[in-house]
Amino acid sequence: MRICGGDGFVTGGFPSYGHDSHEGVTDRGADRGENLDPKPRLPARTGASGNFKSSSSSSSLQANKIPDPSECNFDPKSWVDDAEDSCQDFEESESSCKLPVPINFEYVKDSNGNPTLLVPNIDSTLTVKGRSLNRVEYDQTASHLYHALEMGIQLPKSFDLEKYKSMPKPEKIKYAKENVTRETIISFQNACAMAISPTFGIKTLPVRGFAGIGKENVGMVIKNIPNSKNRYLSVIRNDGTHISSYPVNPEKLLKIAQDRFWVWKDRNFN
Amino acid sequence: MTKHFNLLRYKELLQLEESGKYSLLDETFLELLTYQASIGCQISYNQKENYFSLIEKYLSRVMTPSEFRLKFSEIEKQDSRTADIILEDFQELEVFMLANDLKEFFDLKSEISTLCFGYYEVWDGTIEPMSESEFYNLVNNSYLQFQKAFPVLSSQNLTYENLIYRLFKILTLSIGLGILLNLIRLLRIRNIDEF
Repeated sequence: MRICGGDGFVTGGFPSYGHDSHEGVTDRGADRGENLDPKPRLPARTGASGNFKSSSSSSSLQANKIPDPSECNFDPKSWVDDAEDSCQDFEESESSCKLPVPINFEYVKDSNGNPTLLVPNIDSTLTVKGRSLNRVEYDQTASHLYHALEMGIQLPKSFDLEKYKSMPKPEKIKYAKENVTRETIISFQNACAMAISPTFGIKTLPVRGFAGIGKENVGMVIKNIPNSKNRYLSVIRNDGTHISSYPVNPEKLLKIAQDRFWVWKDRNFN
Repeated sequence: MTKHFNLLRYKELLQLEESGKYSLLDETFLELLTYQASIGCQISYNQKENYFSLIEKYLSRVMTPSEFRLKFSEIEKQDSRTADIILEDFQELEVFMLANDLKEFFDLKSEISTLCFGYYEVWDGTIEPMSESEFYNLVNNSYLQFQKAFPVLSSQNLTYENLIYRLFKILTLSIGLGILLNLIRLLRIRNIDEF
């Protein structure tokens, strides 16, 4: 697992060399504790020189024996080489982690190499026990581009919004990926993540609610929009997956509040 | 029948919001929302004929469902922008008048608005989307309630359109029957001649 900072730099402890898998990341406390162990870890040395990998001293160390001094490689040149290799590795991991647009959150990459933004959950008193992060996923965001403009994200003129709206979700995602740049989707992801994240001086309130005809329990975040009476409404599934964010005017929000925060109640959700 | 917008109370609520003395579930917040929503709703109320006409066009199939949803959202957004400007202008708020039956209008318009707004929301890939016929029925239900609540306004155009449509149908039927009768008559005359 690799967690990256909002600016594209690896944060949250040390980069985990040799662990390129991006899956299996959960926001469960126990998993996070395991993956984000702040203790420094020695990288698995597989550098070009191969000194450590092939040296007999490493096998001595593995066997908990004191190595024979004759087995040790004290050639300072090789040390320099190793240091350079390590740096190259770090830079490579850093650049592979960098996103095309700046974002404000840590993230992990999904199986397609797209970011899933990890946003601290402000609904700490009411939410499912142990969850402290919400996830704004790339594909889910790509299926909600009809809110992009409302969230300040421009879509290309060639993007057929009406056609897109009429598509089922998998086709929406496909169409979005084909017709919108990765930068745009990530920018929208960032905008959604901002809508569920507190900002100093801007009222941001969590509330429990329901969604769909089946009245599924969900989390909601309502955030004021500066210089406007409208607010951002975000819906988050109980497993921490961000579903949607969009601005609502006072009328719409009042209606939702009157419905006891039950949204999309006429929809055929299972 | 109208009443004045209570600017004094609205200012109090705004101050409470700025001081952060309430939470989302407080009645104070809902009261503030109600005040803010009433302005937007009154603006929509002032042009309710447009809303009615739009709904009627959709229900009489003059407009496609997607056109209807788009147009409805556009009008609403425009109203919302106007409301946003008025809510910042205390001088205008001081003389702003609210209709007495605003709540009824708000409830009914909100029903349709929620339908249009939530129609495209996708949850996950496994769920069944709302069908157009289901959407139509839900809009129609709200519209019937609209008709009851605002009988003066409701569906004058639709009645007129329906009347023309019925007349046209009757006329077509009459002509068709006339032609058929004439044909039968001709056939009978021929049969008689043959015998």
